[in-house]
Amino acid sequence: MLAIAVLASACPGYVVAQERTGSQESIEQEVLKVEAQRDEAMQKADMAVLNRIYADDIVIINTRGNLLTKAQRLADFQSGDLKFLSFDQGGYTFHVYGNTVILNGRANSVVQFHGKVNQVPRTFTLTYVKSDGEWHLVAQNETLIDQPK
Amino acid sequence: MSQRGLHAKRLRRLILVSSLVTTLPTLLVAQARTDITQDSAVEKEILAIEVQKNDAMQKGDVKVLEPIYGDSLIFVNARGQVLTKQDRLKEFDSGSVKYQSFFQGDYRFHFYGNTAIVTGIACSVVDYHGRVTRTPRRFTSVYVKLDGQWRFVAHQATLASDEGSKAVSSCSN
Repeated sequence: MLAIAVLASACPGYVVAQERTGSQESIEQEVLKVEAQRDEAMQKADMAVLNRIYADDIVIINTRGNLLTKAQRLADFQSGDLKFLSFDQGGYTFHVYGNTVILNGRANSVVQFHGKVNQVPRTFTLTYVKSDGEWHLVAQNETLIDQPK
Repeated sequence: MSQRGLHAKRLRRLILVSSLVTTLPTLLVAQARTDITQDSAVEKEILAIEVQKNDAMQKGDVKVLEPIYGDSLIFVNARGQVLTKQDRLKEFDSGSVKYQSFFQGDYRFHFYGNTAIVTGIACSVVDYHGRVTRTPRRFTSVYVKLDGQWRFVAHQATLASDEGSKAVSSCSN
């Protein structure tokens, strides 16, 4: 108890962080659940689920450095121009700022995009924002990981 | 209820509905205008921070960068490497990142309460750990207002290899 009191007075930030942990964990779980739904929907090209998760004004930067809108990304899935040949995503780290969550991770999925197959692992950053009680993906950026030659 | 009471009730309802019909669109337009004005004020605030940050990056001025960067900054460079605030500041401090020319533009903003998503193009020529990059990069930056200050909490850059010419035209503005 004394140790906690000493720690609390010396490191107030530590105590705040501890208090936040429970709520942060539950937020992370909520976002992970949405992310799992999105991953499944991307593999099945389930437009209804993707349409719900993507915010109307989402900004997507793909691995080619193209800036895409929601309509363009949904069209990629609907037309079959974007297909997952295998799916592997993980290494998630979360940063929670109230109703905003920054999710960083690594994707090793093999993707066919407009006829070109991409097997290079990617780092991605997703920004989720909670609005009207639902988590929506508002920004996504993917970058190929530079492989040592 | 008497016939007169019923009539008075209907009249009150009619007045309420007609006043709502006439004032609601005005109120909605006023709200939309307020949102636009607020967004454009926030845009200016964030652009001012971007200018400070860009200037500090060129000078390797860690003292200016330190308070702009959120403590839990997650920074993904154009090589797909994930860096922390400390990693990034160390790069500037050590001179591992040096700008031979600097241009950033084509800013687009999206606001969600205390969160701002900024996308843009960087056409700077940069010597990064001994390797010079000239390829334009598209980037996403996330700012969050913490304790009354906008902090740079996430950034990711991606080489715009597929649409080089389009990106370069944005850079030459």
